[in-house]
Amino acid sequence: MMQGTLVQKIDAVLYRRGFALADARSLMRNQILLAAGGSALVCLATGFSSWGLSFAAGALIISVNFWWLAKAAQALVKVRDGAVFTLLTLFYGRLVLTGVAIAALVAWLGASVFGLLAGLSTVVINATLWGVLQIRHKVPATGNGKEA
Amino acid sequence: MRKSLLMTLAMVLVASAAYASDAPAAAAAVAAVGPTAAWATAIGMAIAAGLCGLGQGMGLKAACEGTARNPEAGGKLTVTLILGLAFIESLAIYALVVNLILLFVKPLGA
Repeated sequence: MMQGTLVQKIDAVLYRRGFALADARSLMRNQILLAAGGSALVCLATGFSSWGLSFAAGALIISVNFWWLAKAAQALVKVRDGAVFTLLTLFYGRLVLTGVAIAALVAWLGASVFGLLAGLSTVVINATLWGVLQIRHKVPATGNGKEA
Repeated sequence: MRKSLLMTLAMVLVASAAYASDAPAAAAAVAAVGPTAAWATAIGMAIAAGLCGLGQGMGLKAACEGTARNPEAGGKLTVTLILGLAFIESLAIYALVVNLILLFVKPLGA
């Protein structure tokens, strides 16, 4: 019940923020839940160690990155007049910010590299899980052989 | 163009090997690791960024063409495009992280 309410609330926020497509909204919602839940779990399990905090930082960076990527992709497919420059600025600004954040974490803040990589991998896990679930939904159920 | 690129790469590799094989120049070899790592990260990131850019461009081109031909399929194409872009971009980010590790963490020595 509470889980359903949380999902509905996140969906409502995403819809207001421009995620008009249901599937894109579902992807982004799953990413937020996976990143937040995974970070909380890892931080608690490792006692807020460098590894756990690096995981949380990686998950946050890639989630913000994915947010802007999804928004840019939705808008790029339906390019409107005058939006191209803004979109390109957002696209490259996001890339630069991601690069600077990762560089700061690795070079100056001494983040755990494996934790950071694990956090950055949440988006790959999310996309893979989503794809597998989609395939499972689309595959017709095999019969028991009596249909023939 | 290809010849000059290969020549540059060969010169960098031969120079570092020459430094390493010369026993009295051990200090110079250690000093050469820095520039070699810088070259390696620059070339690695250039290859990763270039190929990921090619992949993303091809994906976006196909999605735009598909939407133009069949606007009703735009929603499904966009979701597939987002997934593809995320996968490709995560590869570029992995390459960036590995390059930053080579450059700053220096797992292969000073």
